[in-house]
Amino acid sequence: MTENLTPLEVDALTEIFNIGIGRAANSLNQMVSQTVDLTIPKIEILPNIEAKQKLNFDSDMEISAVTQQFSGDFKGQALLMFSKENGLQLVSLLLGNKIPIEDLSELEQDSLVEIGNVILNACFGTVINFLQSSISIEMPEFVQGNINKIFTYSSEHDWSLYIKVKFSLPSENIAGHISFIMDITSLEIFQESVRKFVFGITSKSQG
Amino acid sequence: MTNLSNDILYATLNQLSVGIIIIDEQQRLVFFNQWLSDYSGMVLDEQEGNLLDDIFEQYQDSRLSGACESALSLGLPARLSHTFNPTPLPLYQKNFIGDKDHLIQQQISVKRIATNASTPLCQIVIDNVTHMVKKEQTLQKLADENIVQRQKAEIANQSKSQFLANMSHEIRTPINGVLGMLTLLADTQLSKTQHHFSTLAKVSAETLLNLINDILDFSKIEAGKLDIEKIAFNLTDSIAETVQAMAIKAQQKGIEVVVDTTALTQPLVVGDSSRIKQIITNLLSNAIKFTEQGEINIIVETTEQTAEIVKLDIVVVDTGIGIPTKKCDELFNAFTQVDASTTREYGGTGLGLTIVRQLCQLMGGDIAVKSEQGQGSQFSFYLTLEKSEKLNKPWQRFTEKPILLITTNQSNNKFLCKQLSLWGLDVVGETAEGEVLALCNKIANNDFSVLVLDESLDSSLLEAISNALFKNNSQHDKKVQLILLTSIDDSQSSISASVDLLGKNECLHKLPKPIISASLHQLLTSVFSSKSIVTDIVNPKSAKASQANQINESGEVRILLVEDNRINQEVALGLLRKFGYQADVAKNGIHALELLAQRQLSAPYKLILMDCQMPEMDGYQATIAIRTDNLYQASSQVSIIAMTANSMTGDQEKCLAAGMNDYLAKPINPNLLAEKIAFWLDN
Repeated sequence: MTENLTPLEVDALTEIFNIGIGRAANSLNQMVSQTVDLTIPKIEILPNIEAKQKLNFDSDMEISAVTQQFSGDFKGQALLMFSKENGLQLVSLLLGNKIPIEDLSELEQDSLVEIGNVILNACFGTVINFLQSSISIEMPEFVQGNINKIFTYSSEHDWSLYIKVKFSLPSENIAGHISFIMDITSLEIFQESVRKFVFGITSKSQG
Repeated sequence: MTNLSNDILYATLNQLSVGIIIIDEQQRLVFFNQWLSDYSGMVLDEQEGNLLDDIFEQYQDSRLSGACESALSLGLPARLSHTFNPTPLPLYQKNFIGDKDHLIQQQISVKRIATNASTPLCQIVIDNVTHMVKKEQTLQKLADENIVQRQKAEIANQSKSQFLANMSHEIRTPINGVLGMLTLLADTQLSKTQHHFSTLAKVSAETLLNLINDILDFSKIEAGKLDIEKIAFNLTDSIAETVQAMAIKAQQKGIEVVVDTTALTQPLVVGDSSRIKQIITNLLSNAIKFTEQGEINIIVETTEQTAEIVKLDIVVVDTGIGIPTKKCDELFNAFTQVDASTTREYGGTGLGLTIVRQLCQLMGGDIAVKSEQGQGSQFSFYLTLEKSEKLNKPWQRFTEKPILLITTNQSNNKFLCKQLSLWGLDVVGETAEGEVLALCNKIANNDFSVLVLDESLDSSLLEAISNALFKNNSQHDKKVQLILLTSIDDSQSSISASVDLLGKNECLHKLPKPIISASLHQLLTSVFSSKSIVTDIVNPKSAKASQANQINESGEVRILLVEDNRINQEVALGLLRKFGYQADVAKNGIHALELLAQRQLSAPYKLILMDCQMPEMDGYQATIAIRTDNLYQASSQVSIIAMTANSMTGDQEKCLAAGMNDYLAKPINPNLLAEKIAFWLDN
């Protein structure tokens, strides 16, 4: 069992992820004609089982997800997940499609991958910039299926950095879920980096 | 790996069917492969070491350049989808370098190259997705068209429903006029024959109205939305009315129509009489259409009877052209007739029998046909009906002397014998071929109480009978009565001298064919009682109707009739006059409001009969104005009865929602109108 982060540490983490995600929103706004606002209400570090429950997806529900593997200081899998409907909605809103679509075409899947890539990169960028971590990141991929098919990396003992992302579009609000699934060693290293970072700030402000 | 020389690696990169660009930390070109050279029209040697910004002008500050920067500085890989970045680099289809119309659609991956070298490199991989884009565009176009088609179909379907609703209204308005006028006509001074005609005309108009309703209902049946009513009614009467209304056509063709309902011992049943009438009308009109000579028999048989229900077979048999046996099964399919030439020769939509079968099935029955080409057809349908709680009044039995019955038609003779026997009378039934002359002696001997003769009998025969009758009647106080079976329209039949002769007989009574048991019974009753001599039987129903409308002596009552159609105005006014009411007429909602305002202080209206669909201002708007506008405050609580030809479901709710008190569907049923007026005036 690992020691959880203090509320201060969680706040700091939420703050830096919000900065990163703000950049992602900027990139998205440049890509599409819509104004997209991205916010992260809260960040939690949870055992995988709890994170999976937090997602609140039924086991037979279709999920569209973008995933990127990472390795280095800590390793695991980053996932950005939408309910299939929300994924479709997001793509059609961003692409300005008027006619509701029933399924993502190959090219539209690719656009979802790009959106996911922008957002996940923002998170990775935050980790690399603020936490001074060295990680190598793989190309994004599109996956679709039920929660058990998507949330694969997990063993009972894995942990998740769970981040809920709210997409605020002028016409619609869409929720996405980000999970950085890591094994316990990676998580410890990650938490250590966070502590160092927070300590760095607080000691600076004191000194 | 060691065997892979740089030469081989270069060659391999150059053979790839994707574009590869490698740049260094300052975003200077290190390498691009042959593919990229082919699609950009550039040569590596000339560009090597140049900034990508300089090589491709559009690269500056592009999303691609941002992605490359992130990849180089942070190691973040990026995927640039075609949808958000269709043509990030100026790459063209081969042979079209520099032509903006032939840019290729691209999909790009950017990734830092993991090497141990001190300065990082970044690779840009470009996929040509032009074909895929085209394919998806085509699919999208097809899908869009599909959606548009579907929307069109939905709109068409909606306008079809609207069309049906409009048609329902448009057709009902004139029929309302016809029915109303016939009702008024029936109350004027008419000869017996005229009265009979007007009654039949009215029954036919009602049948027409029912048919229109039912054809409009065809779509409802198809959609499973047709409701079968459950109302107590007299089945024998329903069948008789239906057959009488149709029989004139058969008689004009010289076809004998016989209705045998003797087996129907419990005629009061619960069910949907208009649907049963529709079935019989349909079968009968087919029978008449396809029969040139002979007869049509309508026979009711009771197959099963319990305390609650009665199971009936109703059979319509004709001696017409028949149907080839193998075609019989297809008859009940929609839009099917025996063959295409049938439509040309006999008309019809081919929808009739489909509706008939569906109606039978909706009433828990079915229909079957037996036929052979040239051998006539037999349509028989069965129904299960609940018995009415009301008890049937049995026929009064007769105890008079035998009846002599001479007809031309065998079936008619058989049916009449059966019917008369059931009433306790002895019958000597003969057809024209029989030993009729021998019977003349018996007539002269006063052996019979009543003679029933068919008008179409041979004239010499009629003369002989007439003489015998004359001889008898001159010798006895109690004269033998004569009932002559005529066709409905006896102006059409050739009046022979003998009929003339018979006509002079004071004991002559005429009864139009087809013989309806109730009419015959009524005639016999009056003949036997010989108190008053009824010489012509009129439809008993119309006599009832005129009784119901007692004159109302309330001359004070002020009624406002709001109706745009002139004929309907007259019909309604005529009915109101008959009930003893005064009424003013407004031709639309605006006119109605004017009249209401004028009169509300002196002699306000107590009741408004409001048509719903009118030009300028309809009945709904007018009602809302009366109920809510301060201008009509003194009259705001006046009773309003809607009268509308709209028969679609929801009309009633619409009227009540507008603030009307009650609702009458056109064609206006006079009795119902009288009832509603009386009720709302009392209120």
